[in-house]
Amino acid sequence: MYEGVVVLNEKDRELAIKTIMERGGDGVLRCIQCGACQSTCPMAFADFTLNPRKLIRLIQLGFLEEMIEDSSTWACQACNRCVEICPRNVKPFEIVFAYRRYQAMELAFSTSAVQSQMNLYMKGHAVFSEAYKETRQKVGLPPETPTAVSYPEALKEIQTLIENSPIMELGLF
Amino acid sequence: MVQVSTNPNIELLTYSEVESVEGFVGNFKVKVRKKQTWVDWTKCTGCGECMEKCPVKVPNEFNAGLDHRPAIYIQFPQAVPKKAVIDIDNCINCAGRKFGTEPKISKRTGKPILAPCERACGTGAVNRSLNLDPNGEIVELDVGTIVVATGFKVMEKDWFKEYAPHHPDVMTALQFERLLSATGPTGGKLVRPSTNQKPKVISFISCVGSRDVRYHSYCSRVCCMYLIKQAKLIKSKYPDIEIYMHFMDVRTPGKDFDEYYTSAIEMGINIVRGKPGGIEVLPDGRLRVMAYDAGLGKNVEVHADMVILATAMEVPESAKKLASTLSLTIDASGFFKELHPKLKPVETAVEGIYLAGCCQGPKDIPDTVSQAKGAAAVAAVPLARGKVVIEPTISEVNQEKCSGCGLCVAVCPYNAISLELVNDRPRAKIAPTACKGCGVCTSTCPSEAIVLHGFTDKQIEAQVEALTMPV
Amino acid sequence: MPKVGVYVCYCGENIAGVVDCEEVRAFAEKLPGVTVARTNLFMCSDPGQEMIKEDIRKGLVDRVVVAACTPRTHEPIFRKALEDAGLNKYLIEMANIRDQDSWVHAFDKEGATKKAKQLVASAVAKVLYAEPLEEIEVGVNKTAMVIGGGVAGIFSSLELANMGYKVYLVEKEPSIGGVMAQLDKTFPTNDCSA
Repeated sequence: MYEGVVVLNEKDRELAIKTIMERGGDGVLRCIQCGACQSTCPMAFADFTLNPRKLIRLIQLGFLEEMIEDSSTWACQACNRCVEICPRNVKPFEIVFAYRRYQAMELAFSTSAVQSQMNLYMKGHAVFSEAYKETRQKVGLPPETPTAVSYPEALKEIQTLIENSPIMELGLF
Repeated sequence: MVQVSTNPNIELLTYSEVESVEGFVGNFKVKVRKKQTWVDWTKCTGCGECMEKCPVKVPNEFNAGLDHRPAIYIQFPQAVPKKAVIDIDNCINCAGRKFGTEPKISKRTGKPILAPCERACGTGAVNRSLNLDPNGEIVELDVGTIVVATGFKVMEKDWFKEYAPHHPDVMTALQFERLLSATGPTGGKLVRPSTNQKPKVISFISCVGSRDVRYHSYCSRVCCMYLIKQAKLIKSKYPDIEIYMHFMDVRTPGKDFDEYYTSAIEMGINIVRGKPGGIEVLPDGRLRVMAYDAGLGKNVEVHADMVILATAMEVPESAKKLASTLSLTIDASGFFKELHPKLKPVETAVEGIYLAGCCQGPKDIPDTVSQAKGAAAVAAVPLARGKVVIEPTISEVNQEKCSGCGLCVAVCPYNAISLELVNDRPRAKIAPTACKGCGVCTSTCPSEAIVLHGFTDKQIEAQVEALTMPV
Repeated sequence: MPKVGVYVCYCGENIAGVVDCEEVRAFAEKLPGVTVARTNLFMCSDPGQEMIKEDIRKGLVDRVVVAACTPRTHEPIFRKALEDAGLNKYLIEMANIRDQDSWVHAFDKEGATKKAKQLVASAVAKVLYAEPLEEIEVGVNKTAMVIGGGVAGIFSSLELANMGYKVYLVEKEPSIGGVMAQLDKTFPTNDCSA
């Protein structure tokens, strides 16, 4: 991620903080590193290299590109426990997502994330599997769920929304 | 405390509250409500027999709700004055003995049937036949200066859902203080409330509600130190108990404070820098403290028998009412505001009223005592001088111009204006000692008969004119 | 015609860092009624006050405007200076060009200087019509009241009582002691609290 002794400097710091703040992580400077977010975070339980507290500290010190290839952020379950527990209104979840947005715009995301974006565009579901059809039929339900999968006009609406969002700039679809 | 009761210059008015304050420095008129105690304190000897007999059980405030007290009670064993009161809201009027009713006569013995508290009292201090006023009595006092020292309250644990507040083994530090105390519910024996067994592992969590923008943004200043104190007391008495202390930061900036902290570490108390994010109850009833250690940069867990929460010091609800009674200003956190944070730390915006202790902001006992002695010194200045100077920037009526309409009397917020007869005609008159120079009467007077010295119409008009000139 | 002296304070960098004090001084000098306008690094310092006193003693001024900080903390100091120089202490006005100007308009130097001039002009206009006033003295009831019987209230009461004053100690609970009475032992000496 980063090696040896790092010389801290204001230029990197400003860029990192600005990048995160512009993408929704406006609480980054309020963090006092108490660690409450980390102590409830599923990312931290699973021992990913990054967790909200560590990501925030790195950004506060001016690290931004250094972690770009780290896929930990994509392990965030969006459970928002960190937001609930944070005593300083930092909203750590927003910072993880701000960093994800930064990663996405640099095309630095994991293959699983690409797959879920494709699913969302093609099927209307980020998490999609053909396997459930059989299970549904076994219990006497129609194979398709009564969601966008079964309603082409609803899927079309989802696609229109996606086509008009910044994600299209990535040229995934 | 005993010194207070034996000092001939101090008159104690306990179970009493300030109702209203009028006047100004040197000449305050205070109305104090002596709440109804329902017990004749001239007869009560503080023997406590009545407490033994009363069948009511309500949570005992003095032991932070850890045990119960009866409806007739002496607040605590060392109370000053040591007198009983009846908590009338919780009294169940045994034997139909509501206050002010005559007792029924027993058919069997022919004697009156008394309530247990009456029967227990050997001095006749409890007499339920008396028709006592539930509102108590109002006494009027003339005082020169006032020191406000109304203190703080501790936040309840129920606010912190993430820390399993319903669990009996999770308690506030004040509750734990009572548990450790020789006068507490267990007589000072340290036990886990859920099992009544000695705990093996105890976790302490600091900054619970303090330095937390969801509750109070300020630091309560005493928690680090009292947690360390509690941990040290346990560790020295029971060296086999494992202790973990979770701090966001350790704040020990006082004389001999950091040495106190260092000695705790040397005793084998574990310091974990990081705020726990939650407590879960494990299947065996222990508490899983989900924490983080800054030095390690990793998540850590403590499986504790008891967890002590250092809940924040906060302003009691009653302080707001007192602030409006005394015209005191409050700061963003709700504490009474001093006149100047550095140079006038005990003075208030109201001359003659001074602050001491935690009503002005969280502080420990050494700081409280210093401030209290400081407030006493400053409050004594007008008393020692024997006179006070009133600013002449107050309003005055020109009675030749006054038409006696009385509009000013109605608008004056300080009741400083009255009408007097001058040659059989009513004329307004302003009491200089009551006037605060606000100018409401001056601007209300239709006859331009009132002048506010130092802020005359001419002066104000000239100011407005100058401000509107181009520069 | 009254003779007004205007004294513009730099307050170190507090005012001068934003407001052009020399420009304000030059502006004040031309205002009607103003005979003297001066600046000083710290008007509340001894040399600053001496400057005002000197002008009063020489008969150059009989009304004073101090353009500086807040009258809440500093008016008593300047009133004393007037008194020392033999002038009625109510013949002074303060223009608060620090709290109400340089501190709140730190990023608009030009606007702040303009506002300082307006505040000074307004204070000069007011002081021209100021009248000498005399303070009123009233007697004192040599009794104190302490509200709250915790550790703070107890120590305040004891000190006041030991000075010989009658003290009423009002406590809403049946006993004095407050939270302190609930404590087992107290840091840093671990002695008991009762």
